[in-house]
Amino acid sequence: MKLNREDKELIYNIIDAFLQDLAQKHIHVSKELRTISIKKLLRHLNQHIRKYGIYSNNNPSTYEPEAYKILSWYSFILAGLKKGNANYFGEQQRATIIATAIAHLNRYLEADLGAGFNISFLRKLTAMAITHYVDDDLSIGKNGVYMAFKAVYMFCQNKR
Amino acid sequence: MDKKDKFTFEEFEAIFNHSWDSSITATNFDFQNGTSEKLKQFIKNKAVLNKKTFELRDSILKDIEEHINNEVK
Repeated sequence: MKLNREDKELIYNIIDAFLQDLAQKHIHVSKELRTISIKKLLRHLNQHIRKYGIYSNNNPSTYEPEAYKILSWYSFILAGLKKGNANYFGEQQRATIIATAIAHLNRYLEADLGAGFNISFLRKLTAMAITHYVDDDLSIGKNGVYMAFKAVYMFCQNKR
Repeated sequence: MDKKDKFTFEEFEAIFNHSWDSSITATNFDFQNGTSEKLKQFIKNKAVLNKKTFELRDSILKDIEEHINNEVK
């Protein structure tokens, strides 16, 4: 499956805006880390497609990326990067990376539906997402965050 | 981000072309995938980079940072 230029630009723009926002919070992602994290994202996306298939009403030879999926996964991959056996980012930085992604995802939802989650829900979701790096049992991972946003989007689409 | 370290579409495309497996084929065609046109425009215009998002991000973080600091203590 190929991606057309517009869809590649979509992924690029999602990541670029996210990295620009992180830079404001003094998290500067080097070219080396960008390359590693984007390769991991694309590899994961390929694995996901192999496992679950592609569902599209449109052109079956072209893959259409989902914004919620791309940003949920990318933020978790970036926050979880390792330098040898150690985490590249500390706990506070990982929290900033995940909180920034969840703020962006909520703004996506607002753009799509005109409304998003309330702040209490977003704080709980972020706390559970950050816990992913220390306790699997009490946490939510990249697929869980993606599904939280995607589910509410799909539910509202079906109600219309 | 330093100017020399600016993330460009060309950099992204080079990584993409090196990493993407285009041999995978579609298996089902019964469910709409992708991103809505409305959201595509929002993302293309970088409309997410505004005060509303920054305040939301900081509001989420404030609570989390307090939690992390309390755990450290």
